[in-house]
Amino acid sequence: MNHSLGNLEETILLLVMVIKDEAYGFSVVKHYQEHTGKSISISAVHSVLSRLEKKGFISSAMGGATEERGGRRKRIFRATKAGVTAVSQMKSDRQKLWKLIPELS
Amino acid sequence: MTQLYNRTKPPQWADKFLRWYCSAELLEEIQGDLYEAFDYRTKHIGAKKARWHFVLDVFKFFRPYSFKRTRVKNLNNLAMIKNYFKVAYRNLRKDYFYSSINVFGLAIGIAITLLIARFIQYELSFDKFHTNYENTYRIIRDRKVNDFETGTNTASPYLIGELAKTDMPDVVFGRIAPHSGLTVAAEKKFVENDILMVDENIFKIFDFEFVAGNPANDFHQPNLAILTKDIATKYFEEEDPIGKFISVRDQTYSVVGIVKRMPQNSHFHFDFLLSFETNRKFRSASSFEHPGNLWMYTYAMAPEGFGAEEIDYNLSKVYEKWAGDNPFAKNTTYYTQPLADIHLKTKTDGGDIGTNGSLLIVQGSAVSALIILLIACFNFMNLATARSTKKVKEVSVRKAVGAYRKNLIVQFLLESVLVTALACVIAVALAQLIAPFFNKVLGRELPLGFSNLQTELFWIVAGGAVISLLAGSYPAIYLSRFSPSSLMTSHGGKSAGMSAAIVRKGLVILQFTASIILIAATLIIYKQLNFIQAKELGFNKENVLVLSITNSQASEKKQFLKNEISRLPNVISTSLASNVPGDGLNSWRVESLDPDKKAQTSLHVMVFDYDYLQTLNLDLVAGRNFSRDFASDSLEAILLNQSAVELLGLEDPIGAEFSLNGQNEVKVIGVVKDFHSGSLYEEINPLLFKMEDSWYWKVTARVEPGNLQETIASIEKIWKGQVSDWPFNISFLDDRLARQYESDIRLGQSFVYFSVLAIFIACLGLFGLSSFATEQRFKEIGIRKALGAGTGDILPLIFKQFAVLLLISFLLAIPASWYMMDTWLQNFVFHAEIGPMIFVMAGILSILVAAITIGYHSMRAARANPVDSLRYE
Repeated sequence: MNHSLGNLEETILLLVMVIKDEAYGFSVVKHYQEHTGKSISISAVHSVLSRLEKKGFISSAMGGATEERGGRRKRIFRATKAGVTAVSQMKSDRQKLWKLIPELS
Repeated sequence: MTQLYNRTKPPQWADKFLRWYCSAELLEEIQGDLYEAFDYRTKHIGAKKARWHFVLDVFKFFRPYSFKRTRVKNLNNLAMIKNYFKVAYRNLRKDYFYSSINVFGLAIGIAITLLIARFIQYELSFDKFHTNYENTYRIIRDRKVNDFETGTNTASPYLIGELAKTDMPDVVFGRIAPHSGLTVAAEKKFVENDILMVDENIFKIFDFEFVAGNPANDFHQPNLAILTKDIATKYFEEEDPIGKFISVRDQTYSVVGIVKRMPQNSHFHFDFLLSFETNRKFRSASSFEHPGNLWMYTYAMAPEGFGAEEIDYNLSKVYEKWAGDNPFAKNTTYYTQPLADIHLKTKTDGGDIGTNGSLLIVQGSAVSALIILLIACFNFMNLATARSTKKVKEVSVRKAVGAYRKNLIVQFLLESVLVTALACVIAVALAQLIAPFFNKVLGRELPLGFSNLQTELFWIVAGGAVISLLAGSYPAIYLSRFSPSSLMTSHGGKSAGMSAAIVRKGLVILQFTASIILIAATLIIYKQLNFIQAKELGFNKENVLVLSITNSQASEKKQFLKNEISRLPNVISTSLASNVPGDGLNSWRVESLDPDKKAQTSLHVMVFDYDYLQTLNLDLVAGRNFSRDFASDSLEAILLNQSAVELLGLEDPIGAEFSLNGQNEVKVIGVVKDFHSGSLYEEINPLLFKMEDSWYWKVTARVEPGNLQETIASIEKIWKGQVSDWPFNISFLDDRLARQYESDIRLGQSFVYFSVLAIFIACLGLFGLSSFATEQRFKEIGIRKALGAGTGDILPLIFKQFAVLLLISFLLAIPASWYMMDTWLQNFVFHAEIGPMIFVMAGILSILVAAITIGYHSMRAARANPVDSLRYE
């Protein structure tokens, strides 16, 4: 399986880490809009989340239900060790590259 | 109120759609997110937009990611399939009663379908073995006299082919003329009937297989003969026949080739082929000129790109030129009939070169086969679902252990495949067994066994697959639906059982509707056949012998033959005539000589002598018969029938004067009461009767009933003494008339068998179902009996269940069969009324049979000792 991280995947993985204990489909959508200013559909988020889970970067468990969800439970996502390693690896890779750029005016 | 409702809830249909496609594992989180988003958006951007977004999101989720699926892969497929077979086999054995009903019913259905398929395939294969069959046609003609269709002639005169040939040089025209007579060769003498005189083009149009010699190109010469192998042996035995001479009716032919017989599925057959040119040596000049002299069949083979319409168009123009101003020409149309249509689509009352088939029978048997097969399939479905209570356990356990619905469907389908396969094997054996009988019913000599092993096997396997899918898919889908919990809760299983019970009832209704339709159809066919048999035709058709004298030798001696026959002890009366009822008729032009009435028309003509009215027991309503006392009668007198008097508008017919064909001037001397000169398919034709010595082709004789064989033998003796060279051709008038309805009679006969089979298979299913129904209520019946119910109280319990179904089928069958059979009856101008009795009889018959079927189990259950059903527990 391909264990690389795509651009959107990376953003969403980071968002999951940002939101921490309350990361589920719709909260990720809201945070995405808030932090990037762009809109994203729920279904897109869902499929990215499931892809990340398949790759082992996040894990999930069913959480609590709320009134506005019509009594349906949330699937709460959490970054796994592998996930954290992957984003930090990516970050350090990028930083190395940044450092190699002579100057940026 | 509704607005508030709408505002707080997302669109229901979209939500439903989501639930439908979304897999169960994902539904909760997706739906939750969508609800939450809806709630959030309602607050922030308004209800309307929120609803819109909800719908949009539902559709965005509609992708493989969220679809229902079973994710587990079955790693142990082979072992499972083995297990399926084992369980299927055990199920079959355990319920051998139901299994044998299934297998046996299906086997009968498949066997009948197989036989009928063979029959239809055979009927459709006629003349298609010729290489050029697709662009080969026969030239036939339709005639109309006074708007009375006088039917189609498949034979044609010499000139039409001759004229067409010059007009269409690209088209190959060929002729076949049937011939017969005393044949002599190598000191052997036989009267031969199957002789065809053909021209050289016939060998280009049709495919012949020569065994020796290839004289096709020489056949424009006269006096050549080609024999079939059997005939060569018959006359010449072991000697080489090529170069030998054979004489037919005093013409000598030299044998130039040996050819194979035509295959069975050819519309013409022969023992001899003689060269057509020889006809010129013994036929009169008028045979080659007169447009009414139809003694040959003309075939045309069009080159590539030359359509039938083009030939038809050219034919009509050629004919127009030929006929000129002759008003009769307008009555006749020549046109092409595709070669492949000859066998099933020829409609003629004038006879044909061979015996044709009947499209009616092909269609009727196809429909019957389908009905019988469907009834058998329904049995399978019904018995499978009826036993669902037993299957519930198996399904539940399998599901609890981890089987998916898909697996169960496969398993049940395998079971039906197994049953069908078994049925197919039995069906093939059964088909072989009943094939001879079947052939007799349909009047065909189909080859026993496989005509083409590979194709037939392919169709059996393909058909079996379709049947097992058809019969097995519903039970498979239905049975695999049970959830494991339905085993524990009685409620779950019951509600599922209800829907199946409705389907089951529906199928039983369909089965019996179909059966009753077939029974009613059979009864109606027989009612019509009886009607035909009993119909007052206006003459007495019983005990009339008809002797054909269609040859010159006999024709010269016809008066002598008549006198000799009339002297026989059992002969009451004899007469000479051109036609008897049932024959096709000629027509003459009739012009009134009354200057006030310039009436001109055409009338059908029957020519006969003084004694015809007496011989056939025809009645005169006015005037007098031809009489020997008036010498002029033989030339100047005519009779008319009532319809003709009406058509000509004669108020006082006796003494009215006409000219015939613009030549003879004649006077009406009497009026004959209307009689059916044609079949009951047609109206009574206006007829003209005259004496005409050269037109007598038949001797008719009314004989005493009893000693018929003796009488015929004495007539044959007279014939042999006078006309040794010609076949003796005698028949009974009533047989000749019955032959008009041959395909209807055969349809009736085959429908008897088809409807018996249909009701039998339907009852097989009913037998199984009623056994099941009583089994289910065994305890109930036991308790009722223990509480004092008698047999008479128990029986209605069971009967009631099925009586309603039968009643509904009966009601459904009435309009269906009425419509179907009314269409058929419309073929006859004179036909029986369908009437309510038919349906009452069909209903009583089927309900009686069904009652006996159900009765067996019901009686057993009602009579059983309650102890047996209540003891354990």
